Amino acid sequence: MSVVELIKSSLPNVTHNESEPSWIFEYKNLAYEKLIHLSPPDSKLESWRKVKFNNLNLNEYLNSESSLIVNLKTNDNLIKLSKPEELSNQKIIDNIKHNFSNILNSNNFYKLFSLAYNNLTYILDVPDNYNGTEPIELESSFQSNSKSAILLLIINIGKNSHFVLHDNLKSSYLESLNFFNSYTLTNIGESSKAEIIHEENFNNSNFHIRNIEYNHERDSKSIIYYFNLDGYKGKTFIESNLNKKGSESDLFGIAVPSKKEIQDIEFSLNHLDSYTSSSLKLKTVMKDKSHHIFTGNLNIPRTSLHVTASQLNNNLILDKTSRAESMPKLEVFADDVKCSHGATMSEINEDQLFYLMSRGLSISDSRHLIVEGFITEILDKIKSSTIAQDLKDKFLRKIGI
Amino acid sequence: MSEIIKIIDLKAKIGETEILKGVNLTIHSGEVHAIMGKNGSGKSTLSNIILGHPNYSITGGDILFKGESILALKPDERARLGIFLSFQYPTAIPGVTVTNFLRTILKGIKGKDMPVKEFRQIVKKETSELKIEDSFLGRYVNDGFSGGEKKRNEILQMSILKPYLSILDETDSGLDIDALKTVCDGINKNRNQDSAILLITHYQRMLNYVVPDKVHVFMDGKIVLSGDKNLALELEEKGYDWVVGAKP
Repeated sequence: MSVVELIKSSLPNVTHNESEPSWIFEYKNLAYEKLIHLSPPDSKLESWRKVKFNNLNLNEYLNSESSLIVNLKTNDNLIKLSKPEELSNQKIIDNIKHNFSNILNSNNFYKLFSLAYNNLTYILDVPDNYNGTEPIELESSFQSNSKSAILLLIINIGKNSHFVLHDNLKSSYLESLNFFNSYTLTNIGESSKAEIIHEENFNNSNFHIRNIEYNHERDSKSIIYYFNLDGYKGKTFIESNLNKKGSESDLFGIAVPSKKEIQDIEFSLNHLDSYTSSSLKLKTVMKDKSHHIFTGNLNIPRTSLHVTASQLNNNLILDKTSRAESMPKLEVFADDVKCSHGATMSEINEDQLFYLMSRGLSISDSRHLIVEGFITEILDKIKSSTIAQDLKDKFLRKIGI
Repeated sequence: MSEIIKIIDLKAKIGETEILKGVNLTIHSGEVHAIMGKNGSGKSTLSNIILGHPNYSITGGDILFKGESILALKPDERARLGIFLSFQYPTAIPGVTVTNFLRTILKGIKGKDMPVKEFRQIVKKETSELKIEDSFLGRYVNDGFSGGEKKRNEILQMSILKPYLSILDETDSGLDIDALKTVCDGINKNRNQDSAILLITHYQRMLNYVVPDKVHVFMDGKIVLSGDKNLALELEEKGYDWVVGAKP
């Protein structure tokens, strides 16, 4: 029986964790009520056409104890990671309720799913006028008995702040299949700048369905990195909403599927006001019967003027058994905009190979340098050289050439 | 003077098309030779074949480097023997900075890492002579470079690797007069009694700065006429058509 059929037939009731405040349980129930009247997404929908989860019995993973340990690594008292029951500031609670209401109104099956069944909720609060240019690590580790984790993370960044976060998801190798579902929402306050590095170190028995969403206030800026290192099968939605004038969002990503892995990453850049700009660049390196799908949705409504937007997806295919699909989708209704998009699919370039070999590098060293350069173009944009180098080492180890 | 390269009745094709039709050329250490010819005459093909480009197949003849045939060697093995090609259109390697690239190719040629201090000193000296700014070293190899920057980068590599045979394929193309002079100064600094240079060019103007010992005219896949530096002046004046029928 497919996961879709399972969800249709038996969505279990949500459970109340005793430590949770009652308002959280109320929202879980509201999400559940909405969920049972929705059809789970299936392959008839464009976004779910490619990646199928029919060998995952999702029911096994619901209402189980979370096996994820979340830890914010900082001594800075200004930055607070809290569970809902630890919150006392009513303004923050009201904000979260507002965010939850938006989820309830979204009709998005997996956002509602995260709200209804999450076994971990965290709120990361960054105050107004915070100035931190060094990255703070939010480490989320799957434990050895991991079976599933359903995480709801809300990051609120105040006004006039600069915040750099390394959202680092870790898991070790596990024999049995495990499931990760998350909804990460980041709200960026007026005139603030957020640099967020999402790193995924899933094991190769992992299924994941993720929603990563950003909302921008006036004159705010986000630099978003998404690095996928592993995972048997995954669908990730990354949505950046440029809600107010002067907001900007730059997204960069690398994925390196191999060993029959399927990774499907869908970006949405929504220019909901004038004078907004976005850029998106995703690079993938594929080998060993892997499959990667890129979708880039750009939405510019008629009322949003003076918008600039670009998107680019470069795919490097290291063998003939792998497959890349690239789907830029531009829905531009406004007149005064500057947009560009592009996609490339290629094997290792023969001219580059000959050039490097003519400089004394062996064919394997030449291939290695070309691939290293390919991903370094993205990694060089990270200000922390330690994080960039660590990611480079991991990517090259995974690619294994 | 010892023999650096000896090309003997070399014939080559790409697909079913014969490109080289019997090339003979010998260059000794300390010499600078220039090959001139029209577009499509096979000059650049010859340079690629000397480096072992995999798209070409050799149908006859031989290439001896310091007395040994190199036909069975891969491009990187030929490079490690001391053969260098300055490309007419050097390809970009995005994501690899010039500094990283220079270190990597030096290691490729020498077989080991050069101490950082020594490497920095060499790079500083060579970039200064080629009037290359420091910021250039942090840019990705040939990525967004102007024509002149690409050619300087090629000569920078040549200066650092110090090959026995440097083949400079249309190094003068795309250079304004000041850049040409700087690049030619760089080439001249690499002239010595242990190595040789093969210049491939359309025009005589580069030969005003890098004066060759011998000039060869390339036509229809082979050398049809050879002479001294004055042959280049004659070609400049009369064009290539008068060469047809002249004895090599």
